[in-house]
Amino acid sequence: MIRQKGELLDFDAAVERIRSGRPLALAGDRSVLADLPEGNWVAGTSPYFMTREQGECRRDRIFVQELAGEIAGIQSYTRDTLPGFLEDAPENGYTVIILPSGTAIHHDYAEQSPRYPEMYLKPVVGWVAGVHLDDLGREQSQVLDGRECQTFSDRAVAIHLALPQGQTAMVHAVNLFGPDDGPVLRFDDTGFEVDHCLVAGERMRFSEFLKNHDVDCRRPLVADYCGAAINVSIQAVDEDTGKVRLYAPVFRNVEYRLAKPVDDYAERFSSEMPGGTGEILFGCNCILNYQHCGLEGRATEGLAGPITFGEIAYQLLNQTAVVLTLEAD
Amino acid sequence: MKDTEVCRRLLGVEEPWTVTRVRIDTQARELHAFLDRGKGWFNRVLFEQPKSRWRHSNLGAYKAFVHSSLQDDLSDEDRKMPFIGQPGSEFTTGLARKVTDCLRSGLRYREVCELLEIDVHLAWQIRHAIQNGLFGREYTGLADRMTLDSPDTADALVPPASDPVWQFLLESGRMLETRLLSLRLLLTRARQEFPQLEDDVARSIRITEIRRFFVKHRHQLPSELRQLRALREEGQEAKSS
Repeated sequence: MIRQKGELLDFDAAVERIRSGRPLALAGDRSVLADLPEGNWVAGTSPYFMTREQGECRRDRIFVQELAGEIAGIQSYTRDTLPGFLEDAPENGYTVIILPSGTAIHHDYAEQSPRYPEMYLKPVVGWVAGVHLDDLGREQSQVLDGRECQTFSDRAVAIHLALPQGQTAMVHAVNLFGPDDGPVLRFDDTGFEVDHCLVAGERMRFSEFLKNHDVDCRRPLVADYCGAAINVSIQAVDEDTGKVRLYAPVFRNVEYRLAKPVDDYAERFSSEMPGGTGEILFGCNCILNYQHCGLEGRATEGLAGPITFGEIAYQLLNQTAVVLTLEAD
Repeated sequence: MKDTEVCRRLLGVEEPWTVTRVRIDTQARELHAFLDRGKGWFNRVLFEQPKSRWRHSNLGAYKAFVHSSLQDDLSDEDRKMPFIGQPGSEFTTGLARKVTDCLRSGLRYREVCELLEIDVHLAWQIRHAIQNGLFGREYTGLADRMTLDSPDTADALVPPASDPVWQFLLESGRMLETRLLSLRLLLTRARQEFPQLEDDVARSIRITEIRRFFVKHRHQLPSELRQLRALREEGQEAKSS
């Protein structure tokens, strides 16, 4: 099994890691992140974690992922500057970015990041920060820039790292969902909210399609990106408007299908983890996998990390685990 | 003096061009200058305009790269500025000029590459451009000298951006088997965009990006490069039949 350094620590142990000066990506409840000292770290709120032993919710712990390489920059980005964030990344290295959920900057990234300069040419992973599910609608997710312990709900934070020649960061998306044999779905526009769709070429309301086919909305939509299955998760059907809200945007001109159900997520997970010998520098998994696939109290072998409200492997993903490995050329 | 102003002077950038941002990559010893023309948009990044990235002559111990979007309304005079290049190319006119100057002063091609720290992939692109009349017909003889000095190793290289294989890859719908998520996503985006791009400049910028990916990750892509070569042959056969 590939070696992984990320671990869930108490406050004092996390502070000790920060004081080591090494670059870190942190996750935790806002109450525990708020008191951290300045340092070379970025963070986002989430009290859900996958440890090596099990999935768990802790408001008093911080998940610490120690990153490899030389720090090339720690930066916060506004909606205006975010499109250029990869221009700040080194030629050989990688970036970890964190966005606050349900915000304009989150939506911008979701819809526009495939067209950002340098996208797919430089490795980028990350996640969307969230809140305890009991606090949904009452609290706002946050991201933090550790250099001056600044907290943001309207900005993204990123840490850029440079790697020496001979080392490469590789981004992997671990997605257990695959398309079913149902009809192809297409959408008129790119967006988080959908009214109509084309079902095998026939136009109809998406909510009607879901109802007529008795679709379990825990199954995401899946698109084939040259062999990579990319999910879009269904959030809810608005009973008043009949529109369907999504956790990530569907894109115009992309073909989607509903996903086949996954029988035993935790059991199947390890077989889908990337092979090879590279050390895992970063990992995260989706809150919907945690909820729908019963990960609380169970382990996903080989992967520990924060449970997140959107995953980033270059672009925004849903119901997917993301892994960054360090490989020798 | 601000770093952008220092950089502007070192690169010889003149109005209405401005250097809006500079990034130094100490690990890779690279300097990246981001150029704008006319009024800038403050700190806003206009990502809708396709952006080119050109290698320029070194600044001291650092390899210099220039990034900019070229507007359609650029005059021929503007397009010849030494600190920018053609939209679909990977080098500035200034760097290509320096290569020809070195060759004319008697240096051998390999010596020029070593002196200017140009790798074999970029050197091949420059040679190709000179051969195709970048500086006029009188310089094509120089390109021939470069060919003699550096036997064609095309099979071992990533095809140049002008090779039809890239367009064939993006338009034919042929799958390229790869395990790299980044390449899968890059190809998907390019295939989605390609039919909608109206001008050749935007298309060539997209092709240059994909080529840059192959050059950067060539050690991890032996199988993909083999597939690309097979695709190239297939495209050539289809064209000749």
